[in-house]
Amino acid sequence: MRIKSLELSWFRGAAEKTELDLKGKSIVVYGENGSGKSSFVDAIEYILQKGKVEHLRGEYADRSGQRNCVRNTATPDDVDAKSVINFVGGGYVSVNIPKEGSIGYNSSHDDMLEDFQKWKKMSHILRQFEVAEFITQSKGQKYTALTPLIGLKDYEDTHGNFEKLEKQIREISELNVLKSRYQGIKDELLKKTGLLDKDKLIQEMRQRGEKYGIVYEELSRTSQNACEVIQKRIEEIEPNILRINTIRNISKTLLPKSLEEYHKAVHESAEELNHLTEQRLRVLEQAQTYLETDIQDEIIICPVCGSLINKAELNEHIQTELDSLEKIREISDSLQKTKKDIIRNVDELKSINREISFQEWLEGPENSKIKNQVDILNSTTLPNENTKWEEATTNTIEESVTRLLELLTPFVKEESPSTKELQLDYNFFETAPRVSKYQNLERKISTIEILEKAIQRIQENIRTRIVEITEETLGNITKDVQHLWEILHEDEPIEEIKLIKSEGFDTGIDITLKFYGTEQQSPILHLSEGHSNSLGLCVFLALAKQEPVDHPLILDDIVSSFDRDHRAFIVDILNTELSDRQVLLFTHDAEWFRELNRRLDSSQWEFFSLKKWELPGLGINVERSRFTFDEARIFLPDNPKAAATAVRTIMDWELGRISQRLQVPFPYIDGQKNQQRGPVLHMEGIIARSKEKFKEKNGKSWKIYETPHACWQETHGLLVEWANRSSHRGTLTVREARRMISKCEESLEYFKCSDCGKAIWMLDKGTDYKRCHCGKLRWNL
Amino acid sequence: MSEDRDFDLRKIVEDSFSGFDVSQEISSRLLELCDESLCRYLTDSKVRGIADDLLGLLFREDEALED
Repeated sequence: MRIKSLELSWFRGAAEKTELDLKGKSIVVYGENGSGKSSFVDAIEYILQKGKVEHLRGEYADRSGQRNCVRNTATPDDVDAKSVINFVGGGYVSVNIPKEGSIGYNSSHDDMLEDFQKWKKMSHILRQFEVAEFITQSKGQKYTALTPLIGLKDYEDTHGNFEKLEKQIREISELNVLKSRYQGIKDELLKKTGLLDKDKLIQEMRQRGEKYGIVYEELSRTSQNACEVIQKRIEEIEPNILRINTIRNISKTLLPKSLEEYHKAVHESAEELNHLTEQRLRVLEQAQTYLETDIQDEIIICPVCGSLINKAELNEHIQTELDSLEKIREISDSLQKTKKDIIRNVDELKSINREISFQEWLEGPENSKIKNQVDILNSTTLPNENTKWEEATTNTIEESVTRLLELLTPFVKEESPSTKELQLDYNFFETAPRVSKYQNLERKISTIEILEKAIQRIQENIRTRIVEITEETLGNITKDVQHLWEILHEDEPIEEIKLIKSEGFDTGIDITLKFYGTEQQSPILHLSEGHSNSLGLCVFLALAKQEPVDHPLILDDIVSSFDRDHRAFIVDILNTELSDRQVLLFTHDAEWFRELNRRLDSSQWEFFSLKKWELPGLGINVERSRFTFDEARIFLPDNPKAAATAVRTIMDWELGRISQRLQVPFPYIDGQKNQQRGPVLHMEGIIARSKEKFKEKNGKSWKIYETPHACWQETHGLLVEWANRSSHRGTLTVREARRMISKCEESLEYFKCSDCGKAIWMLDKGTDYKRCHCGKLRWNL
Repeated sequence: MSEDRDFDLRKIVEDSFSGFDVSQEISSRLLELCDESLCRYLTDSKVRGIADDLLGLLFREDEALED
């Protein structure tokens, strides 16, 4: 699944069809900010993630948002935006995004799109702003992010499904309700029978049944029969209990005491009232006389007692009289309260003795005296407390109550019969049949719980396996992370970086490291932004290495926070750790691009430049990047092979362009070779045609321009020689490489005029030749 | 790899039954859930349906348990 080429049409920055022809190799694409690099990455991510591009996610309100985000704003309405990924060995996946209607995903083979969309974005595409993202995530987020990458998604999904199943079974079976009912019945059985065993309960029923003449038949029936018999006995006993209780309650009446207080209050009131009434009359009469006298002196005769007193003493006398009157009022109030008590106590007594079992008992001839007193009491009515009571009435009540209490005294001491044992037996027989329900619930709960425990065991075992896989995979990733980190940060005080499962937290991942020799649990606290990014890159590459080797890695502008040295180390990683993988590297950094151009093996890498992006309608402009001969010379001291490879790349590009301009035809070559004519075939074609077509002015006539031929022949020989050697893993000396650079550079110079300095690319209207500016050289088309 | 996981998960589920008095029908239904889980995280309604089936199988021959 290595990528052969990427095609964009009206997708993001692209206008008409724009192609990156990777030829199945790794590539470096250089472009300034805004030149369209990320459009290629977006195109891959869009198909991979079924229409989602992470960094555009905020713009996705709906399907139309998803569409509008990726269609070039200048796209004609009737044209689809399109992105195609062609794979080496044939096959493609693509997406068509019309202005309206369905977004269409296609592939050349049935499973190709589905297989491609199974690739995990996180281990295939890394962008500048995502480099440190994993490092800064929470433990749980790290775990969630890694779950699909380390093959745990199926395990987690299965675990989650069984977890849901357990919950659903509890809900549907109402297990908690059943347990609550079970516990209620169990408590009731223990409280009322003391037994939970059905056989023992039946045995107990047989024994207790004998007391009531009940023969055991069957649980419910026996219970019903026993309850009926016991209930009947209780009903027989209950009236006696009630009657005795009534008598006891009557005997407790407070009426006698209230009547006593009443008599006392009446007596006091009468005495005091007589005395004070006389006294008050005298005071008032004398006070009247006194007030009618013309009082001149301070000393006066007291109208109350006749003594010689002053005015103050007169006031004192009057106060004494007022106090006496107040006392009368208190006695009156007390009397009124006592009357209320009597009324209440009489009413209470009447209500007690209305109890049916007591009334029935009174009907017996032996109780006629008591009945007589009760009747007297019931027929007596007292007026309210504000009215004067007739002495006869109160006497009747008093006599009746006294007599009644005397008559009832023997019965108060009578012992009340007990229904306690009957009630206990009744409860026993009534509850006993519930043992069947108890046992059924016990079985039902047990059955559900066995299933529940089996499902819990499944979850536990899956979780155990998940932990095993997590630890094993994290161990592998850790090895790669440490190795990559050592390449990037040799001899630095941050070491032994580990990805580990969080302690006590199955779905969490920690990153630990040693910082100046001390183990630290949080890299974020100890790493600079640059180091965090570096660690993020190491984690990404380690994860990517877990993927199949033919899956490409896409790195979009990932070195922004890396210094020059560390960028150089990344090239080391590309050359050593990732040499077997296809890498699509995008950068806006011209200096690093040149370094990549110089240090990466051109037989494995292709280099592209994107021109400055100008208008939506013009789109992205890709051109294959070229070395200059001076850049090729830089390799000479220590890598002549790289210098020769660079020169071949230059000649391939330049001779191909010249052949096209000068319309040099080629014989068709079968198969792949037709796509790989190379500089040798171009050179051969140009040499052959030049012997007829390339001419220089000789006075007023034209002659074949022969000057370049020797140089071109030698250049052709050098290119052939290097092509042979390089295809057999051979090499060449610095001297040979220098000569090759020199001859190739010279060969190209012959297409320029030595007089005007211009190349022979000018085509005059109506002519069939191309010429230099001054017209000294021409190439007949 | 995917087939290895399928096999691994199935074996975990099968092994988990040992020691529990679970009928063959119940075991089969739980294994079906395992197989279906390999494709996706199941919806609540789907899992509810399976739970209904399982409880139906558990109490199918034991209506007398109704209290």
